[in-house]
Amino acid sequence: MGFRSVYAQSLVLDFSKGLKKECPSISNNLTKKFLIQILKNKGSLDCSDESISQIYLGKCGDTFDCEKSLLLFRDLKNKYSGNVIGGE
Amino acid sequence: MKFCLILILIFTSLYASASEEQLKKLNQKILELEDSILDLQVSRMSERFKFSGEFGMHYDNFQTDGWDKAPKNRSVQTSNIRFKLNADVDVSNRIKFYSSLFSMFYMNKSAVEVGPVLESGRLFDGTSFLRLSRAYFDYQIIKNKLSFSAGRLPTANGPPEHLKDGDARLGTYNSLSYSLPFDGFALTYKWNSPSKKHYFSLRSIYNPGNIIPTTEIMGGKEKGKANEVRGQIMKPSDFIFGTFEYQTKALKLADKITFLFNYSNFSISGPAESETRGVLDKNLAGDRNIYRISHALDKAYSAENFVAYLELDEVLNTNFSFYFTYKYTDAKNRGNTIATIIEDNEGGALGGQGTQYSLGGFLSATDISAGQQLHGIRYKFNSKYLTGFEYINTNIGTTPASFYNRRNNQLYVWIGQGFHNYFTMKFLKHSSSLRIGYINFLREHYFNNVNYSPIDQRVHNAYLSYILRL
Repeated sequence: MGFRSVYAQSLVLDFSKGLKKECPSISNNLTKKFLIQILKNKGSLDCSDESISQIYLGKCGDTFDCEKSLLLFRDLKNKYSGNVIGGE
Repeated sequence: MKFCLILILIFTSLYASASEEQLKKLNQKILELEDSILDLQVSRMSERFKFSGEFGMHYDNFQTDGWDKAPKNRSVQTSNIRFKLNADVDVSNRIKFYSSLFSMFYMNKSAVEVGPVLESGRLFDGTSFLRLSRAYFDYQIIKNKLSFSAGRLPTANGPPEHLKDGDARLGTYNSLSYSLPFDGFALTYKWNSPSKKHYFSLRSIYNPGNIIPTTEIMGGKEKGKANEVRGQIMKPSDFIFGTFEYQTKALKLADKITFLFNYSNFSISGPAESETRGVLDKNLAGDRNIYRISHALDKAYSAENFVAYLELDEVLNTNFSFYFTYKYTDAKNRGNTIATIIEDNEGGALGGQGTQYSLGGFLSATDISAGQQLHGIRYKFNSKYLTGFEYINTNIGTTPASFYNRRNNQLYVWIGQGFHNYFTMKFLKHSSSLRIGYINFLREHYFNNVNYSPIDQRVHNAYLSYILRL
């Protein structure tokens, strides 16, 4: 693992875990690529963008909900925002 | 010839299997490299410094009736603005630092109170304060298991506040605990089952009560001089908290069940010496005497709190969630507050200069044990809309909670019984939320600046609250 912070590591682990519930066949690297896309867009992503759907929807079929994964990302961002001593 | 052909076939198949093996290894290496590069990219993008915040606008309409010692059927409207700026830093792999600056001010107060004003040696800005509501670090002693935290801790706005906004959890312990951002140290132990279906944590929090007025540090209190200590300085003892948390996703009853138990123990002094006019006028109308309010002892009030919180999220695969809190307080009166006449304007009718009256114990007039209950139900239409109902019953003697409430309502501070309805909408990709609420509360006691006096007042509070995440 090449993570520089606990935050980044936890973000990736929890995001993968959440995404795999929706799409069990998604690979770890594809999850990370998707996360990078969201981070690049500062937490938002155009789910109707065809290039997104080709990369991710193609792998997961109808079970993959792009909007739901964005909500997951936002929830995780909250989770690691220092609201609870020692993290939740 | 046939033999040569067989040899060639054997060599070819051996070579093919060898390169297939190498190709597999090469592919594996490429995947590992890609994995590492992606990790680094995520690390780089989730920046070391993170800034975020909250901007909120809140409107309240209060209608009160039924109290014979105040104007009846009053209608009051207030509006306030809240602003919070968070700056978090990943200092190292094991240390993470969090901070928040917070301000709340009533709208257009600046038009009538132009600051800053120098008062009692302190810079006082009548328009708005910027407070430090959070500044602490987490040090991971054992990664994701054992951590040490120190600073101004995130101990306010706990559950169930997050449910009402459809947010991630706020605050370390529940809102009905003594909900203030305390300064101190904490040790947290967390455990996750291998299946990730069970989680528990233990937190012990210690807040040293070493608040000392600056004049005492600088060489003693000089009575009657300009630097005499006055105002609202209180000397709390050490606060000790213990929190146990258990969460399970293994039961069919609900998608997630959370149980929190919190214990706290503390004592505080009464308010610092102050002067006031007519403290006895609640008993004798027209009291024009000037009194010095003081407290003889270092400790005026002590309490032990036991708070249990249960949250059932998405019960039986429905969109209903339930939450329950019960707080039990065992409060002790450590000494009475004294009013001394320092200026007799009543011709000795209430006693001459130097006459003393006891105003009873601070916060609690006598030793008392009491309970506070909060029962709530929430229905989530979808990820954008939710509604809820909660009932609260608070008896005199419980410690007040949630002074630092995110939405600024008094629900957890009032003594009596009432209910609260709310409807929350989230929009702009969840970065914005609007809540409409109504509180109907029968106040049975009110705080008279020393302790609680009986009252029979019905409060209707309709509010509109908007929060924009920055």
